[in-house]
Amino acid sequence: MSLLKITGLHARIEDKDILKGVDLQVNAGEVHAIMGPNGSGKSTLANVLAGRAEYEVTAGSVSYLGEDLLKLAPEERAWKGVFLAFQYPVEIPGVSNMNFLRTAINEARIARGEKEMGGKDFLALVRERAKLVEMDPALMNRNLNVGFSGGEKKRNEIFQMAMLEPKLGILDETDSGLDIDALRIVAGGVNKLRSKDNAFIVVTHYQRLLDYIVPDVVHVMAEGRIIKSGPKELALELEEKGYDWVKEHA
Amino acid sequence: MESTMILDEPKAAVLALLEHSEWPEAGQALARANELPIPGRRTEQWKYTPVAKLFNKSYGKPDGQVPVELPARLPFPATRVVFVNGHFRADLSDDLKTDKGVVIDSIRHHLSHGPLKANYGRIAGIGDRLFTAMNTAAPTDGLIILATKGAKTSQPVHVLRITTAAAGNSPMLIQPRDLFMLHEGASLEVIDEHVAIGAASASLVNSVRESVVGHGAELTLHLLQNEPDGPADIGLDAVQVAENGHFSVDTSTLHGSLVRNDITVALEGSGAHAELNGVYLLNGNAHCDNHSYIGHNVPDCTSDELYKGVVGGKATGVFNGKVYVKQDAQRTRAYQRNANVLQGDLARVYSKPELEIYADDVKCSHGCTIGRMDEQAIFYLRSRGVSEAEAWRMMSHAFVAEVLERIENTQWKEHLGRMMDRKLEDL
Repeated sequence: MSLLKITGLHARIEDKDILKGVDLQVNAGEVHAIMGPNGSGKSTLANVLAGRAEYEVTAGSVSYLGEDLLKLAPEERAWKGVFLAFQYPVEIPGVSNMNFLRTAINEARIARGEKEMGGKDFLALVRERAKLVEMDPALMNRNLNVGFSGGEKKRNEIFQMAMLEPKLGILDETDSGLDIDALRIVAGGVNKLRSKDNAFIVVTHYQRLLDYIVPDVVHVMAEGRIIKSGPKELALELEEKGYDWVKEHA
Repeated sequence: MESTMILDEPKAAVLALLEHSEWPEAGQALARANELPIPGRRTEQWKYTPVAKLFNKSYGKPDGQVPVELPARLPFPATRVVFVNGHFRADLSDDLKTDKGVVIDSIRHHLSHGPLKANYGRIAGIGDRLFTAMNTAAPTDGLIILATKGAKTSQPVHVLRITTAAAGNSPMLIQPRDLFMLHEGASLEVIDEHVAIGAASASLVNSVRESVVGHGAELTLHLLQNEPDGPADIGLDAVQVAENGHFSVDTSTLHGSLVRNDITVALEGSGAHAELNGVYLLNGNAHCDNHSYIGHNVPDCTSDELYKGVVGGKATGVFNGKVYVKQDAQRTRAYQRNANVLQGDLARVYSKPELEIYADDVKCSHGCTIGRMDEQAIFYLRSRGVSEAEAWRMMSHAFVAEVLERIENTQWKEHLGRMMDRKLEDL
């Protein structure tokens, strides 16, 4: 089943065109890796899908579960199951991790016409999902990402993803700044969330992450477009031969 | 000279109301009020808070006997003292003779008593402040609290000052006048809440409170201005703090057509400490001006100030904080910060920190910021499914929480937090 269909997507920030015709289809149950050099538009694509207002879509369409995704506000996208794990998770002093998450979960439930989650069920879920990413329970009651190490922030992203159970999880360079142990834990968390009903787009610069989260398809982006797609072996080939090789053979 | 006369003509009508007062030295104060000009745009202290319009109408004397329906009590024990249009209402107040060594009463009952005579007008000198002169000339009534050596109140005193819509809607001039005296080691906590019932926006409440914090004594004031459609609210707190005395105040402004809070603190004994905190959440046409002056007059005193505001709609926030360190006030520690978040394009904030330091061994800091809410953070919250309005409220709450965290009385802090959250729903 097609979860996401991107057609001829163009986007820019301020006056700079970044996406110049992206086509991509993601089906339920799949993991797609998007690789590419710096400035190729990978992060822009991830942020446009999540609805960041600084990016202006100038052409093309994004259909998500048969609906025009671009018409939805960021929170509406979240309620319908889109999740973006940030490359740089934001520190928010004064907003507690737990309160924020409970608000997020219950706003989504209300939007879907479901009953709000009670305090007890919420805490039980927190305990269960925190184990997925081996998250220190002490971090739960702290202010959102404040004083977290780089690794803790990324784990917190995956923990939130586990709590919100998205249909489409987008990981924007979640591996950057992670040591090998943290990378293993974060990837393990994602793998446990994989199912036939959801899909993931993993944006990464390095092949390393893909040893742990094995993709079904690998795409290479350059200059705002997907220039090559292939099976997971493409990532290894890229690592060996570099992006210039793809550009020449695209 | 002639032009001054013409300019001040509206004032004369207002001042006529203040004649024939029985308060100490009322005549001199009235004469001074007649001399002083109405502060205008060129008066530095009043530059951003236009008060001339307050003198362009005719006020009546306040009626204290109107029937009122009292708002719900605070959600924690407090001794409630009620003033209606500036007049003490024993019938609506709690029993005030509860704590040994503490006198809580209408100040009118004490006009001929020693403590009043010794201190009235001494802490809040008139100087060139017209509003102090007006108040001193003819206060409506007010609260006197005297705490003898080591005395403490068993629970906070909740002063509820209600302004009603006057009969026939003619505006009133209400002039509350308080005197708080804390002797050595005494401790007192007062919540001073201003509320309006009905359309009272044409009236003017001009308050003056003098407080003396004795050796090692502790005075905590919680000021709350929560007056939708309320009167112009101009107030002065003049405080003198002796050796090792401790004064702290938090001022929360949730509504107000024209609010001016002057706080003047004189640190007069080493080890004295002043803490000033404030939150203002403004929308519509609200105007709130927090003006503070902290005088470090002797060595080894400390002061700490934090004011934060969220200003939206067409509202205006003003902050002016002056810290004055005298030449021999060595080892002064004085910190001051004012931070503002603007919402929309029509809201305005004017912030002016002022440090005047004549001692050389001091640690002082000040800072002010005026900005927008962090868009990155808002997007982060929204991307997780928090609606835009809720994300904005969460961020606003978090922004002012830093001030709330400084309030020691957790019951008051939580009560305020809830009120602020409700206010943020409308912002």
